[in-house]
Amino acid sequence: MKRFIEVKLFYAKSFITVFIFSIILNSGIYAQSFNATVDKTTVGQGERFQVYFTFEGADINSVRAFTPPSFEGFRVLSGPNQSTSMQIINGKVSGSLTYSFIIVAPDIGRYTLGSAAVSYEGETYTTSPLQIDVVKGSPQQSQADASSGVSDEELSNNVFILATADKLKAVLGEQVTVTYKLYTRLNISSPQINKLPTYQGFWAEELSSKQNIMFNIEMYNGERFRAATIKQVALFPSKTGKLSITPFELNVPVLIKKKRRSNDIFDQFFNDSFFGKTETVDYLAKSNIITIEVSDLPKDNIPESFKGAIGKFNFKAEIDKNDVEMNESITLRVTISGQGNIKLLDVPELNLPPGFEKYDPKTSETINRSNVISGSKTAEYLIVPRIPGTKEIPSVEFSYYDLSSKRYVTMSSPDFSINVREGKGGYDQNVSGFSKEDVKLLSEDIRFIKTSNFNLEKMSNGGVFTFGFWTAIILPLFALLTILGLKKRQDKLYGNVRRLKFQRAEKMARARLKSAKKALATRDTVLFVNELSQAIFGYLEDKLGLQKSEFSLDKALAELQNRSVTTDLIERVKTVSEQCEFARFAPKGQSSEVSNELYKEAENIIINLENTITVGNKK
Amino acid sequence: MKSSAKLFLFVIISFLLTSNITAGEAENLMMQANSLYKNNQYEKSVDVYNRVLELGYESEAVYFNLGNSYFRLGKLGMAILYYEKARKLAPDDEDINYNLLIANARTVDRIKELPKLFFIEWWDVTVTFFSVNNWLMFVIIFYYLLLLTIAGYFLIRNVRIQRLLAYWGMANFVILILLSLLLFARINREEATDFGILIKSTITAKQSPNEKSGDLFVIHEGIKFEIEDRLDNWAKIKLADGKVGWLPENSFEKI
Repeated sequence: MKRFIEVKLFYAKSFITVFIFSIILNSGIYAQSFNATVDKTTVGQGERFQVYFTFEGADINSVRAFTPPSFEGFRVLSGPNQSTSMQIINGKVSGSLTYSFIIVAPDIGRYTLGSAAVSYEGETYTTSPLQIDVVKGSPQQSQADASSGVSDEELSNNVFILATADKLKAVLGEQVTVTYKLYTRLNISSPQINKLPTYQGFWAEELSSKQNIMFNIEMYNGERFRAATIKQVALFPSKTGKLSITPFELNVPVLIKKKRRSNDIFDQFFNDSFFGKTETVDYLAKSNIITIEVSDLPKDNIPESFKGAIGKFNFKAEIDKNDVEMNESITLRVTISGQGNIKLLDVPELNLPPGFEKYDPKTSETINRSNVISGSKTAEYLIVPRIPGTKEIPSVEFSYYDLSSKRYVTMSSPDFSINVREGKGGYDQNVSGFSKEDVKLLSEDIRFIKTSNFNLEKMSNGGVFTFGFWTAIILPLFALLTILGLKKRQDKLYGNVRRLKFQRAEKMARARLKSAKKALATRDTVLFVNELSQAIFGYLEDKLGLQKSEFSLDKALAELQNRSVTTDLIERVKTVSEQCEFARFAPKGQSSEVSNELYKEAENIIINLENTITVGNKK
Repeated sequence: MKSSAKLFLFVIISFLLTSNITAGEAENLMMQANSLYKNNQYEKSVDVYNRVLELGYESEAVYFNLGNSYFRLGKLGMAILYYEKARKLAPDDEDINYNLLIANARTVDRIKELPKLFFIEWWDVTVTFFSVNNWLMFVIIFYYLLLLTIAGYFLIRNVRIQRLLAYWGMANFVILILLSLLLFARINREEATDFGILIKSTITAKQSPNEKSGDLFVIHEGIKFEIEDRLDNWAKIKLADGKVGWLPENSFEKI
């Protein structure tokens, strides 16, 4: 049983799936298409024909961004004209959207009409290009000609638009009024605008026109026409040089009686407007091109406050109150009224003294569009005083170029004196420019005071380098210097004789050796030996710190050994000393050669000893 | 030798004594002012804290507590002034920096102060680690040590000790130089009044030191600026954003 239900469920599921698929497929059947068609692919030169770009789909409302093809080699007479149709078949909505153009091929040849594109639900659809053959043939007009007997030229002589400007030379910002008049001698039905003129380099303001076109009888080139003003524009040039206005194009349906070539009385009788068969011919009426030469304003004596206002203006500046509380707003209203380029002029700048906050002005304008553009412009400045006191707002200046007197005019308001009273509220209400962090900090409270560890210190008000400080610095320095000086003097006075002798031992020995050498030269042997032994023994005494009284060679040698003098050197000292002693007692038996050698040996020994003992002592 | 050691001891002791004898009185005043603050008597606490300052004592605690009292009284400029003074003595104190931040958040002018470079901050912290007197004491101690070392070098015959003393003398000299630098930086920090805080609620900075000269910009209570120049009761100030103008000297207080 349970199994059976499961099987049933499976079928139900698959059925639903199939159903859903079929819906999806169904919607696929109504796929979108975008095609281009023409009413004929071979056209005569100058013949009008239509191109249709048709989009078919379920939801034509979501068709976006129609891009027409480039009509190169063709002239577009009208279009894009849009038409839609909707169909509901079996509850399914389908529709088509057609963009059509009426075009004309002015030259003979084979032309390709490019592809148009639309976007539909995010996808772009394009049409395939079309080939159009333009052959020399009879254009439509001549067909009409044939049928109605009215030529294009004839039409243009009888129906035309005339554009006139009240002046062809103007200065920058001067109003130029252009009037478009439709002249006709034929019966026409309501014309339709094909192309509006473009006013490049102008600020254009359409002058108010009547709802209905009123035709009046007017003479033009000596002929009677019915004429009607169809459009009047006030233009304000915004740049200098030659500026031209493109023509205004109107599609005028002209009612033309069909001529009959029979002389039938009845025909003649009926050949009037009431009974006569009439035919409508679309005629494209174009206005002439107007070129206006715009010259610049005089360059000299331009006031500082001039900001492009041209015409004739009145200027007024007023303040709503002059006794306010701090942070209470004041409104300064500047009104400029008069004739001229009211929309283009800039409102004067306010020069506020510090202590005022100024907001961007709120401007409004009213423009009267009858014949001459006039109106008023109002700027409201919101001023908020932030500092109490009596404050002066300097006068506001406004300058314009007066067209009638051809010079600049400057007007100024009086100065405004404002008394700002100290308000109750602080700044808190009106302070701007806080960051989020600041706002957070504003709601926090300060931390509590320090209740311990005051670390109180005597303020050092410049009194660091007091007398006490300098005595504390200089006295010990003097003490040190005195101690060092005293010590040196003491050394000198009761100086260590031993030390002195030690330092001078070599010097003394050298002096002795010198006089010994002198004696050797004079062959004074006694003196020589005496001096030589004095040199050696004296040196040993001084160096080893022995008293003369207790000096003996053995003692000296033992002392030398103590000071780690080499045994070789000690032996040499012993030999020289003994030789000296010997020579002293036998002075005559000495040859000068022996004496010379003895002298050299003594000198060597002293040098060696000096090196060994002094260096050893320093270590 | 003995006389200099005595003198040295005398100087040290006199330093310690002078800073301790009257400190007790100031400490009492601090306690008194703190209890006034706790009882929400802020005006009185301001008076008592000021008496501590009149006694010639200062510390970040006095300035901080004084700043808090002024803050409670709604005198934002004075509060910021004393917080800044406190921060001058203890640039790394968290409480001081926090309260200064809060006080600054309530000022009207929004001029951000740039944060200091890290090594300048370290230097500031080191300099303010001890008071001027402490630094002075260190300098004098090391100066005496150096003198002793020199004396020892000349008086002691022992070669090894002489060499040790020579090394120590050089190190001592370097330390002394460093300590003197820190001392001077500390004194300079205390005495420099390069910055001011606006006390008046609003004021217009002038183009020149003259009441009749042109207006430049408006600043509000509590703004901090650098004082660049002074001329008969007028001061040339420079804001953190580089604006320069003249203010009457009675409109602000030096930090």
